[in-house]
Amino acid sequence: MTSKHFIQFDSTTKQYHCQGEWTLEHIAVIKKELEKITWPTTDNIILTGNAVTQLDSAGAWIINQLLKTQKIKINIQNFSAQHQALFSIIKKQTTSELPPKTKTFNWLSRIGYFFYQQVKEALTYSNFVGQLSMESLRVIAKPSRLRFRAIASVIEKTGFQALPIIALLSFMIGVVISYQMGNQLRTYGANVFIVDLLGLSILREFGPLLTAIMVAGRTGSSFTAQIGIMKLNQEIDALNTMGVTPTELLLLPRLIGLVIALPLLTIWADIFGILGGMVMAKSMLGVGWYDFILRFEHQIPLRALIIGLGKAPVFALIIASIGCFEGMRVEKSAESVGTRTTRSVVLAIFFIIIIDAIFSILFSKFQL
Amino acid sequence: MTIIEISQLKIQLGNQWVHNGLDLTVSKGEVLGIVGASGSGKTTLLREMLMLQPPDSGSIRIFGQDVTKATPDKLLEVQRRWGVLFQQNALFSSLTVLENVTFPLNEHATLDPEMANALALLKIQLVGLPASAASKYPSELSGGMQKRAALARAIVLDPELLFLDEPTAGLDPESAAGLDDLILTLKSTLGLTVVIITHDLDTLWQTTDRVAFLGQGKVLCIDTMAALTQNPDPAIQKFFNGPRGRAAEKTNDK
Repeated sequence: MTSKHFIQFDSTTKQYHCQGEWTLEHIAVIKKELEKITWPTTDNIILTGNAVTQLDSAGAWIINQLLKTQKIKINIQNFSAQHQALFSIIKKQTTSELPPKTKTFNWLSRIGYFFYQQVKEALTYSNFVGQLSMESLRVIAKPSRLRFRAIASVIEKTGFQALPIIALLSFMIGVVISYQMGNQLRTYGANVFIVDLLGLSILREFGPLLTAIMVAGRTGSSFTAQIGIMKLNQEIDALNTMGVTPTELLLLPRLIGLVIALPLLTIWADIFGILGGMVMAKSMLGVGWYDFILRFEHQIPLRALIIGLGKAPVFALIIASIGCFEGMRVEKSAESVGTRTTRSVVLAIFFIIIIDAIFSILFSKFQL
Repeated sequence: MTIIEISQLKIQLGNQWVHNGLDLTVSKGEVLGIVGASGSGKTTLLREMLMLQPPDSGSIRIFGQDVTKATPDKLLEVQRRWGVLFQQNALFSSLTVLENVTFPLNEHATLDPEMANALALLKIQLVGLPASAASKYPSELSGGMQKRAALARAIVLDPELLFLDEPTAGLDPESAAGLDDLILTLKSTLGLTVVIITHDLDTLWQTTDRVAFLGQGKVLCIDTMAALTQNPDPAIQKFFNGPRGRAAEKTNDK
């Protein structure tokens, strides 16, 4: 390069000389230089290219833009044959039309659209549940179609493998509840009532609810991701063409497996929750093991356990059906797997809490 | 000038030697085809050249830089000078076609957005996509259009070296022929060096200057397509002298 400028005006020949590497790397500088030039408005402009050492499509494009924007005719001279060929390709391709911008909506229509989407989603979900029920009836009528191995594998993955984490968490919750309530009870000297409080709250509420929430995060998300990726890989389509419905092979085993596993997990959580409470009751409130168990037997009705356990299958249905539903709704992109998995967990926990509240209201109405 | 120089490349995958002392050179401005039966290590070779899979031993020099021993900085210099079209396109599914194509521009060049868009749009049209496709997401395009979009992304930085993995797989004959022409145009106008991995015999006849035949962990033969089909090696004969090979040869006889 003779100078660091990419374009130079020769006043004797009245020509503009392009020089150096007209490449993407230098395109920003070149553009600035071109903008600085005050182009003559009377004569034709001559642009020479014999000093251009390298020209790529970005360089050719910017020269082409120049040709189009200037009112005066610009003649191009002395560019090599290869560069000329590049010009002609670029000239052929460039159209000034930009791709249409995606429409933007105002806030009102966005709210409307959001609402419409939610309603549509809800309808699709109920459609899905209906289809699932019909399919279950069909399979139950012919139990040989039930895939016991798949169900067993679901129970192992969602139930057995979750045992340690559920045990640890429920133990902690037992400790926490016992600690918080114990502080209040001690003030009134009613230490021993910790047994009633712990027993009822863990068996009726915390055991089933926390287990369900844990499982929604752990299992619901994995259902969605598994089925979603299978859908992206066209595995679901392949099943459909082979006359095996994905419902039968993938969804029902997950549904049945979780309905079996979740109540079992809930009993497990109840045991460890009470254990955690017992440890705390002994160390903080001085309620011994023997006293605790004796009072537990007298004060906590079997009803409390049954009510707690009764909720578990309902929660399991919610988790599994939402997890599978969102998985089946995955479409085309990796991003969609992400959003669907998030939705699956959020919706499952949302509905678990709603249903739990409804249960509470119903039980108090019927004085259970 | 040599662009790629591979010597004594060895790699073991599982307990099988996929490459066992492979040598290959690619010179500037040529279109090299890489062929071989299934499982002969074509894709592995590509992954090694791209440093996605480090070889067990041997050296791969690209633009004079041994990429197997390059520091990240040196490797980046090489990476900026090549473009890759993957077999499955590997378009970013959460970005539109235009965003996909401008992505390397924004990462590696200092451009204002307007210019980046214009340049990207130029490449999008250059590969034969309508401008209206630019605002679509990859999932809204057909397979052939996705391939073109991926090619636009591969060439947006005006690379000196272009790797194409099965560029015509899954394309209709017309699109495939269009792509062959495009490769030749790019080569002649931008001075590209192209490495094509393909099974498409028509592409091999139409575009390549030389073809390397992989087998037994080595390059069995590297020659022009016409000479390669005459090679007496049984593996090569089996590959090219099937009914499809003969048909492709006949139609491409010049």
